[in-house]
Amino acid sequence: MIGGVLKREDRALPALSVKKHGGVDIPLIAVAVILSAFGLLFIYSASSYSAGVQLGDAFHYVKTQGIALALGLFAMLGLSFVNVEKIKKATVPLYIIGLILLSLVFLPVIGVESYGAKRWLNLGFFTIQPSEYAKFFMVMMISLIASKTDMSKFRGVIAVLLAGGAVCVLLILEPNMSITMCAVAVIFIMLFASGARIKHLVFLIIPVLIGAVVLILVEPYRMQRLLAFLDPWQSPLEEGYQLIQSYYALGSGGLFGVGLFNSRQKYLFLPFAESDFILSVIGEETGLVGVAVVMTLFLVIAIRGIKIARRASDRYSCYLATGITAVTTVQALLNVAVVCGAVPPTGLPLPFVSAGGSSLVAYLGAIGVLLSISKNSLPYVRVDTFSGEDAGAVKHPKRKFSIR
Amino acid sequence: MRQKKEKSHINHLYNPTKRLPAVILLVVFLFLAVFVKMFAVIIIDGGGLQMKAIDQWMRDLPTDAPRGSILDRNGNVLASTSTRYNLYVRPSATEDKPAVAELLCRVFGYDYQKTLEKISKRTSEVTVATQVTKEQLNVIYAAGLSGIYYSEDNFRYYPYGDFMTQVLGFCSTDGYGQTGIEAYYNKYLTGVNGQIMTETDLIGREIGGSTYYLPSVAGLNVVTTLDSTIQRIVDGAIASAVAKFNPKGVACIVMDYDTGGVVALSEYPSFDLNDVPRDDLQALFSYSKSNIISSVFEPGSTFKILTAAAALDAGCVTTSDRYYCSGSKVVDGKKIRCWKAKGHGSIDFGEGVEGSCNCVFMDCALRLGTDRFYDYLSSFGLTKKTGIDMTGETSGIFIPRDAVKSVDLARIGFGQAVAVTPIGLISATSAVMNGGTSVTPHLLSQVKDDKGSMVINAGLSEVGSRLISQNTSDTMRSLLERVVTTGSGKGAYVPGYRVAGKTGTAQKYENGSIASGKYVSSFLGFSLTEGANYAVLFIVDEPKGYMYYGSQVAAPLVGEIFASMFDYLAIEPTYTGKEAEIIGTPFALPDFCGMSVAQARNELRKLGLYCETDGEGDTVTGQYPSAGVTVDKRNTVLLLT
Repeated sequence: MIGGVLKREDRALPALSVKKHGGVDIPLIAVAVILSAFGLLFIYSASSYSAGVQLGDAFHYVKTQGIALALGLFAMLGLSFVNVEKIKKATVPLYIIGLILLSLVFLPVIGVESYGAKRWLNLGFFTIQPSEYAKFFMVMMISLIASKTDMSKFRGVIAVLLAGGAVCVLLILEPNMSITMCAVAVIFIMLFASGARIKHLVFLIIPVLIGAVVLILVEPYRMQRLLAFLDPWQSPLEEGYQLIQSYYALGSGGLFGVGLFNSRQKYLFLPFAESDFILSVIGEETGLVGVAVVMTLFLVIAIRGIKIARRASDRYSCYLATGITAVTTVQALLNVAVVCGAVPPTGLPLPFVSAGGSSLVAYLGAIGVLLSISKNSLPYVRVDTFSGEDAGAVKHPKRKFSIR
Repeated sequence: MRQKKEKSHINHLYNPTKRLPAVILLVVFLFLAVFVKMFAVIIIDGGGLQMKAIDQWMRDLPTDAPRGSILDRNGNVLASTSTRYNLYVRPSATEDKPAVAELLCRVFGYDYQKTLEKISKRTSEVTVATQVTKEQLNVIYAAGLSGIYYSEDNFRYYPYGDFMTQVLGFCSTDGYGQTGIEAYYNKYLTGVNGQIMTETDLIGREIGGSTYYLPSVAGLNVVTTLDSTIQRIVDGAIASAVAKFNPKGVACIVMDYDTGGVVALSEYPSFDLNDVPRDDLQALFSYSKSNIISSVFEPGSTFKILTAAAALDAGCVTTSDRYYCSGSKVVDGKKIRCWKAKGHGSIDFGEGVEGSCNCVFMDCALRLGTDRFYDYLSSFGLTKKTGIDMTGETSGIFIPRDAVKSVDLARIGFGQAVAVTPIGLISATSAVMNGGTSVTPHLLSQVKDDKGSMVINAGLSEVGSRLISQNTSDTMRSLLERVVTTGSGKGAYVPGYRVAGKTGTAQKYENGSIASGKYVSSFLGFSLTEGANYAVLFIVDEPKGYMYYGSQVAAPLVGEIFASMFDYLAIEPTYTGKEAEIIGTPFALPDFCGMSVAQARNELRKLGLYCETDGEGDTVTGQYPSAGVTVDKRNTVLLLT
């Protein structure tokens, strides 16, 4: 049994010190709460007209989101008190539950179909979107594998890919291309962060590219959608419609926006104004300044998340923090890129902000996990054997290795 | 050994934080890249995007600008636009059908039972009335019955629509001028549509935002040189020509020969502008273009006015020159016949004009020579378009100057081997009769805005250039007056007024050879009476029956037109005492049947009647008017041989 502690950088701290280095990460909580509250405000602004006209209740989305916000804050606080050790122990069961939930959407009655995709589970009182949770369970599973395997070996990479691939296959079957792409990006980031060799990663990229080409050939509408973003005016009523409407919203906003609640695009012109394109409404009402604030908040999450990963007390926590940060950041970046036409349009909600209860609860819960990791953080990282117990590191604090 | 193995493992231990700085760098880079794109969309493209966005946020209801009216020179409306309404009934929404039926019958004079049946049909909507006036609509509205709906409609109405068809023209269903003045002056008549812009959602529901009004600008009114009363007079003459001769077509234009202002222009066949045959494209295309402007014909004798004027003006001939007509003239070895087979004998120039002797005019043309004659014809404007303000004008057809042989020249002299447009002919001859200055025929007098102030005044634009001398013009006036007082134009004589003119009878050509029995009979008359400087060209295409001479077919109708015009213009007659001599006392026409032609002619000359013959025989086999009909000296008698 081999364990060890890696000294963090140049800070020579007492080897036996197990004093918690971190506390509650206040900026992270603040950013998550601010983004969620910002989301609630703009969901009201973006959806009050459409919900009033189409559903007869201007507060339809606000109510759901409000409940989810309460649940999410509860989950965040609760999870922040759960020791990472417990989370680690629950990883495999949760991962399996995630896979089961993802499979359940294909069942009749319980699975809900909308816009040609089966993404929701009807649980009587409410519906949930399993993919929002499954992607975090996948991150946990990958962290577990990566923390126990020599990732410099290809078999380690394969193990991670199998765990991630199972989730991706179920996501594709829904189909939910955008979340799948997010998941693939997260898997690669985690492989990279957990020390997979660059040549292995390059070797993996090739089949992914081939897979993408095959998908496009099988469903040619993806190719059209893929190219529509380059010149949306060529098909202003079809592929290009969403992007053009997003452009109109953003362009009308200018530097400071047209003012809160003054969006014109939300009058049914902009589709999914309260979810996938909520940033367009933010841009219209608060301008480039508002968009910059939102992007900065996500950048803060990314930086805080990676900082927590760097201070994580153990390998699993480090990878988990990296994975959670990666999920949040990749999805936020992709959403912003879609809204401003930097990448082909895909339906992807903006974390914390877009309407969607499952998403909000999952992200806030994930922030709770980050907080828990942060609280347990040490001035150094315990380095365990690839197969051994984490506790070993603490038991043999003398074994210190510097791999710098 | 074991220790070594462990050590090698430990050497492989990977620091999980090692690559995190790279990850954060990548993230920061991607955030910056996306932000740059965001900046480009919001700040750089923002303005243009906003303009397009505003476009989609506003539902703009166009408000039709009323089209300008077309007026005659006295301000009478020839075409106007008014708002009318279409009325619908939705049977399902009609609670009290008998009451609705009763109301409709009361307002529109419908049959009660039929109306009730109509509005009880199992359809979503039935049209019960169109072109409903505001007053009628008010009555319907006041009744407060359910189930009646209306829509607004811009309604173009033409009070003289059945005869001014070609000159006024019509509009497309969306109010764009298609033919005639409607098309030519569409730019003036069309207003600028207004807009009511309302803020709406995607579906078009108003969202309680602002509404912007952009008022429409009414079209301008076009005041023409036309005179609705003279137009009506002309229409009457055309109707009587149609009734008498059942011709293929009739066309008449009345023009001020000093200014070129067209006073009336009417053609048959036609259609009513208030009921445009949009489904019958053949009729629409053939009847909507004006033959006076768009088609050419072989003028025949009316063309002799130009030959005579050119020859006199060039000094090639004088009125005292004497000619001998033997019934034909040999030009370059080819015998060209005068219309009078027996010949006119020895006559002077004036008698030649009066008797329309072909030989005299062949001689004129030959004396002028091709170049001089052609120079005159082109200065008269016949070789190009006159420039009248109507679409579709064409120009005359002439043998190319360098291809003209003497035979052709001689024939052109009496109006054959040329083709001119009626508008070209009347413009050219107007210059001959008005003292010698060119005229440009036109229809536009003024353009006024809807408050009546003048925007454009076309009346004073240009002074014509001199084409022939005043002397020549005076000579031509008196020569042509003699045609009416004593010659073939007697039918156009109006007692107490001075009328000049020339008849024309041309045989039609079909496929290059003369079509038997098909003639174009015309009369080109000029009022020489002070204050009524009007030229009237009346053309009857293929009159049916045995009457085809311009003297019999067209001249009397022009006489009627002149008489009515003088009456309308309130020009007092000036009697010279010669009227009785010209008209004589009415008497019963004797029977000439069985007489030799020479004997009949002799008898008619003694009675003071002008006579035409039809046929090559020596014995009179029939006559028109018939024996016993009361006639006077203005009548022309047709002898059938």
